[in-house]
Amino acid sequence: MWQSRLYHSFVELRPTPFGSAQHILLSDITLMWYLTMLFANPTAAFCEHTCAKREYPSRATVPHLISVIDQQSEELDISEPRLRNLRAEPIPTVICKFPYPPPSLQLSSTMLTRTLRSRISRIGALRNDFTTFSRQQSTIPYTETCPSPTCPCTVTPAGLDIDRKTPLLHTMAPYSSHVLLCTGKPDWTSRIEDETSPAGHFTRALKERMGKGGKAFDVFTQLSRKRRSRMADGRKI
Amino acid sequence: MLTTACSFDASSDPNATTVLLFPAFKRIRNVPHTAKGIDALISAYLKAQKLHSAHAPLSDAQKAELMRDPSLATHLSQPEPVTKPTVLICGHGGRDQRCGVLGPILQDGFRADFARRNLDADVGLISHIGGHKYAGNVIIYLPPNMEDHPLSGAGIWYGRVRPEDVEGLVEETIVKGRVIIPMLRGGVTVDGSDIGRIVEAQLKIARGEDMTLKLKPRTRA
Repeated sequence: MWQSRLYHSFVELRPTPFGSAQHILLSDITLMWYLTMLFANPTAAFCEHTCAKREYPSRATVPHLISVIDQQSEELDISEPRLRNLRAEPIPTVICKFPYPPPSLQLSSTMLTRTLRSRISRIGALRNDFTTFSRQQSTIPYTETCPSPTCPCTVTPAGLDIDRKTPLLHTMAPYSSHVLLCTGKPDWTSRIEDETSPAGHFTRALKERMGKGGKAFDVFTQLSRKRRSRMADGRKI
Repeated sequence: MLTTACSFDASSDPNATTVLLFPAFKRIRNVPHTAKGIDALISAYLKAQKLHSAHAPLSDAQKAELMRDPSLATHLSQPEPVTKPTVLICGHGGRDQRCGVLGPILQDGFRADFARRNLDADVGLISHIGGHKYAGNVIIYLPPNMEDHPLSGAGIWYGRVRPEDVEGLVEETIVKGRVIIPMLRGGVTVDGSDIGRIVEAQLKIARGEDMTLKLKPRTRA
């Protein structure tokens, strides 16, 4: 299933079936329209082509597809104001099984002006950056309730100020790696760096190298997307 | 990168630390506290395997500095795979009393439950991971060798875990392989995806929310 948002100058196509996201910065409403029609709201011609051949439209077939879309658009009389109310239909599941991501460059080479083509060529580079964001292929089994205990277990101690209102989902930031330092003891000073034990020394050494200003600091690997964008805005992270 | 201390047995060498890496599920014993040892750990296990394209303008030397170099792993002991489910509970009483009080109770609860089920798993306390107000905070790492387990290779974060929830949590997540929505804070899958986002999307579909494509123009100021 595709998720797509269309702005006046920004098309975001998230082709989750392919495991990659495309963020396409464009200004041309026409191009947006074609891309949206082709990828987000596939026409019969597009479906036929992709399902039958299990491949994306090549340079040769694009003009034909576009003419089909043009024809359909005319029939539907979709002008720009009506675009705002456009609701595409979900893509048939068979389309979700493409062997490789859409070749955006092939599309652009036939139907775009030179300026747009240069912009489109950045799609491939941009796509790579969003792979972790969009690799959401698998499903996670879940249950909506926690079963009640069958054994007489310990009860929660009273008097703890626990926030039971705020939704818990997304209260953790995704991380690339979790490093656990085995200390053999169950409690530590408030900041691990302040420990006089080896764990304190180790944490300080890790932060010195991988923290901000360190030689191995890599904002794109170590920080979550949220903190990364805050940093890009010059805010405190 | 998230760095925490944990209560698992320390290295017998006072000048070295045993390190566990998740979701790589590796245990590296006796990483020396020397600059060389720590640099080797960072370069061989923690740096990026593939550089972000924003780094493209950097020189080759600068790029090499940021890239992972598996050859440096030879400076450290051979990594051992972590093969048991690992339950980590925030018990950082030195930072906040809520985790400090609940952590050890939950640890005993998990240990008792694993013993009752005759299940082999590691349970330990860890330092602050964020969100004391959601105590007890529990992270469950399920090793990739648990084949056929739907969550194998994943790390699942739970919050507001009460001692009475422990039995259900073990039953659902470790035995059956299902995440429990009311306690779920998020998680990482074996390939680095965000479990929170995946589950959120599934919930929307299950609750019949409109997942059809919507095209909305951004309102101009």
